[in-house]
This record gives sequence, structure tokens and C-alpha cells, in this order.
Amino acid sequence: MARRDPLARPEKLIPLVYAYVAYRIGSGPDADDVTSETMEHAYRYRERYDPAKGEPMAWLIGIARNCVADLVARREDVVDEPAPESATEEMEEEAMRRLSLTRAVARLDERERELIALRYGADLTARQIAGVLGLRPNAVEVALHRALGRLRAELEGDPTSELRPSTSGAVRF
Amino acid sequence: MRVFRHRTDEYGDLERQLRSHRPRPSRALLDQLVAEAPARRGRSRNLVAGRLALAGFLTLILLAALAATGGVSQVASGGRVAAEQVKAVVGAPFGQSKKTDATSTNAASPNGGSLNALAAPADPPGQDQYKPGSGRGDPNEPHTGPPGNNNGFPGRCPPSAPPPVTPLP
Repeated sequence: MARRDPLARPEKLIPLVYAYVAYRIGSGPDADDVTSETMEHAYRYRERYDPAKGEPMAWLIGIARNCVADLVARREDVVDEPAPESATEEMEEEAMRRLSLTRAVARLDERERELIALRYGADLTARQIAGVLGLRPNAVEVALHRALGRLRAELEGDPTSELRPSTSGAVRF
Repeated sequence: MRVFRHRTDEYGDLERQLRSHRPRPSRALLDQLVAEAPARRGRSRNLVAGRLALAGFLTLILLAALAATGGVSQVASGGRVAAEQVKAVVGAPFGQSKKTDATSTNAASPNGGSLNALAAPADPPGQDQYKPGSGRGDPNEPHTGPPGNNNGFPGRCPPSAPPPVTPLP
């Protein structure tokens, strides 16, 4: 029986893996390295992918989570903040917004950052996240809601944030 | 369901921004990782083909070595003899295994027919080992028990005499 190739379209998967990793540990060389390591493992062990256990993206994120954990174990001083070279005064508005958001995500605790990264970085559904984390989908929804509330509070508390919500509660850009 | 929709709407703008502003890999990194995929795919297939070729090659070497030393015919004849022996032992009726062809037995077992030990005895042990009449089979000559015990046959054993008493000086 021919098995489905989980990496048939890597150009669609790699940006999502990178976004997940960057939400977890911040953009920069570390995120590049972890993404490369993740894809290297995926290329090497692609024969072990079992479609019955989930979508290719969930499989890739499982590998990425292990790579991030390895990095954290190797280096206790993982930078939570984004790379400093991206924080220049000449930064364009778009990059500034992204930086503010990434900073706010980085200030969340590990669990909330993981949920945000899985949902909005890797673009997994609540059901897929539940499969990755071993939780119930309902519990994932509740935890995500709480994480979004914390993220908004972080954005409100950041004086440099371009994403601070207006008084009506909507995010202003 | 309404609760979830309300929750989703509550942070709808924030969610949209989290998606639209998600970090993106550099073009160079993306191109590099995408370019590696076909090469690795081909290498993986080549690896599997190489392993199969190696396994086939080693099997051929093994068969050639067996054929050169006569191992193939030895294995074939050994299997045939073993099958005959099994058939003889299992299929023969009780008490007839001693009539098994000794030649084939010796051929199968180099130590001189150890397969005979596996064959069932011709007579039950109660008939060929425990005979009446001092072991000679005469029913009129019963056992007398241990030496010195006449057991009702006083003439067969010397009378037991007390040891001579030596008077003290």
C-alpha cells in the first residue's frame, strides 16, 4: 500500500513550522536553526509518518516541539525577546506591529505561548492541538481564550505597542 | 456553541493580527529547505534500493558457498533421512521398532544408532526384566529373599549357628 507523503508540498508547511517556532522562542537565528532541524528530521523519518495519527502539519509540529525542547535544554538563556537588530527606529510600521505582537507573545508564560504558537503560528485547529498536547478540545478552547485575554492585557500594558486596543476593545492599527 | 462564537468574536481582531503578522522565514531559508526536499527524497529511495541489493548479494554468496561444499545435497539428503526416521518411529506399531532397518538408522546417527533408544521396547519391562525363580524364569524356584534368609526353604541355606563361645581363662 502506498503511503501518503507528508512532505509532498514543503513550501506550504515550512512557513507554518517557522511561525510556530518563532512564536515559541522568538524570530532570529535560533528559529532558523530549529526550523532547519525540524525539516531535517522530517525528511529523514518521513517513512514513519502514519496518516491515521493525524495530519502532516500536526506530525511536523510534534517534531518541532521536540527540537524546541532540545534547544531550551541546551541553552537555558533562550532569548524570549525578538532579535534586537529588528528593533530600529527606521522600522516600518508593518514590522513595528509585528514586533509589538511578538514581544507581547514572548511575555506570556510557556503554556500560553505554546497554545498561541500552535493555533496562530502552526494554524492547527483546536482538535489538532488537543491531539498534540493530549488535552480535550474543549479544554484547549478555554485555555486559548484565556491566553488571548492575557495577550491583550500585555498589549495594553506595552507603551510602545502599536496593537493596543482602543477603548471599545478592538485592536487598533 | 454560542459561547465559543462569542469568545471568538471577542478576540477576532487580535486573532486576525496573530495570523497575518505571524513570523515568516526568510526567503533564503525557505528556498534552501524546499530545495533540500527532492534531494533527500531521492537519497531515501536510493538507500532502500541499496539495502535490497546488498541483501540479495549476500544471499547469492551464501548459496554459492553452500553449493561449493556440497551443502545443498547434504541438507537435502539429511532432510530425507530425518523424514524417514520420523515416519518409522511414529508410524511403526508398538513392539516393532527393533525391526527398523539398521542401515538407515546408522546413516542418520553417526554414533551407531542412537535412534534405537527412541524406539519403543519389544516387551514391557515387567516381562523381560523381573522374572521369577531367582531371575532365571523358573516358576517352581521362588525367591528366597536376601542372602541368609531361607524363607521356608531350610535346605537351601546353611543353618544359622551361634558364634562359638570361647571360655575365659
